[in-house]
Amino acid sequence: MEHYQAEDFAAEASFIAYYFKSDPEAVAFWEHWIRTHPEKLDEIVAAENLLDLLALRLPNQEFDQEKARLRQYIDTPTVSFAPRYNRKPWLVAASVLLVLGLVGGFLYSNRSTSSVEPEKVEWVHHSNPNGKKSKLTLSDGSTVILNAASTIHYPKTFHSTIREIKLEGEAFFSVTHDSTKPFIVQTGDLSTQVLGTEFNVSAYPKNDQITVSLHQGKVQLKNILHQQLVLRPGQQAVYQTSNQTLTRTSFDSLAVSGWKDGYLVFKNADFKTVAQAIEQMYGYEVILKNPTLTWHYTGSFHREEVQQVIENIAFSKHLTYTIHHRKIYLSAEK
Amino acid sequence: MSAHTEQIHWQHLKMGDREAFMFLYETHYQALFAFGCRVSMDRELVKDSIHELFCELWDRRSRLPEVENIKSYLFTYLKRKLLRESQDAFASLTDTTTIPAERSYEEMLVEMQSDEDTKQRVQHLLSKLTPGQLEMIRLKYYEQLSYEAIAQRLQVQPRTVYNQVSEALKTLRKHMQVFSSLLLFLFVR
Repeated sequence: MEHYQAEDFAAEASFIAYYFKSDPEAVAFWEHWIRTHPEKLDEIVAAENLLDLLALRLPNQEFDQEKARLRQYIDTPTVSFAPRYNRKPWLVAASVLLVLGLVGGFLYSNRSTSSVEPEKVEWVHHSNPNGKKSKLTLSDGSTVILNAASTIHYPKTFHSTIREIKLEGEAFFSVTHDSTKPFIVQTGDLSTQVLGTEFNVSAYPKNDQITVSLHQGKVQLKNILHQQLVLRPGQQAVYQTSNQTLTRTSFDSLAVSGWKDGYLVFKNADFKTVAQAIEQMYGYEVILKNPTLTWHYTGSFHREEVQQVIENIAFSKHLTYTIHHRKIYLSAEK
Repeated sequence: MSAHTEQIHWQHLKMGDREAFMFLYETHYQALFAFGCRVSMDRELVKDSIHELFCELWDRRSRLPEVENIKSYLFTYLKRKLLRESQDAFASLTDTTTIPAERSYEEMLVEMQSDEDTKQRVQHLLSKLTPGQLEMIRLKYYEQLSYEAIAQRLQVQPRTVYNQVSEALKTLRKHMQVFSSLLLFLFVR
């Protein structure tokens, strides 16, 4: 099998059984084989992509989300509301309703509050802990994929003249086009205004910068000092929160937005970056036992178990690892 | 899973056993999803409907009927739900024939994709296969039959089926290399 190409794997009966998880023996065999043949990883991923295309099944990651959603439902003690009441019961189950009298609470800089009709907007919020992502559909049909360790506040039904939401953390937006109602993402001092487009916003409070990366369409950014910047597809804006500067660069889409499709991408990443990303994606704390050790890691993973990720990193950096109670300890090989 | 084991889980579910419930969910999910995609074009709707179905099962757990074939009970339940949804969507139309009929494998693969661009690319990709290859791919990956079973059904040698499937995959992969970066990065232009 050492000379297998993706199509050979994808045609192999036992590999298919592994993919469908229909035969525990095949699963055990292939998981072991893949772990011990990291050089074949690209071919394996390509084989799984082929199967994803042909198998007509919900991808594992989405299935896990669905399963979590159901678990949340059955673990919620009061089930007095019928699920049909809301097509997205987790919204009800997992969120606290915030009722604000006016949108004026989140001031949009171009608009004076007095011109806004006193229209009741019911705000809801959704938070993800480490290790969890979720997909939300807003009342206008726009979708938001919310990354781990992130919170989004949004109106249950959008205001009649403006679509405004607030984000802490990171999210990927696909905004339904509506030129009459600007869509605005508020992240601290920075607001991103769009008409209909796809973009990623990363505004984790622990990072002292906010990045907005545009995939499609056009967005306009505005900071608290009313500086403006327009982005075109493939461009990224970086806002330094400390000195309020706004700059424009290009970006690597997989590294920036790959998280929403289950990619974990490291480019010359130091320990702190690696540890933060793993904690966010999997909810495992990573501890380096020899803090003087410096290394940088480059590599990417697609929908891997945390053990596989850490095994690969450990292997290439000559580290040993132990996993215990959702903590990963790394130390130098003896 | 044997019908007997399933019955045990069903009885446990009626007594409020979460793990038995989740077990039924996990073992039937993908089949329900694939079936749902045959009935509805909208994969998000299929996901939501399966979710609702299980929420309702859980809410009514103590009052669930005795069911002989759990799988077909779930399938019928889901189909009813999806048809009701599409009837709601078509409520303004009197002509009920507008409710989408069951679709072909090829159509389903295309519809599965989340955006128009990818749909077109998948359509293009599948057009590179011969009808015979597409049918074998369908039997292999959708019906999940063994090479022997496919060979028997199509009256050819198992080796022929394997070669055809392998050839089809090679073709797909070749055309996917350009495309896969697009499929994976989905939003790169």
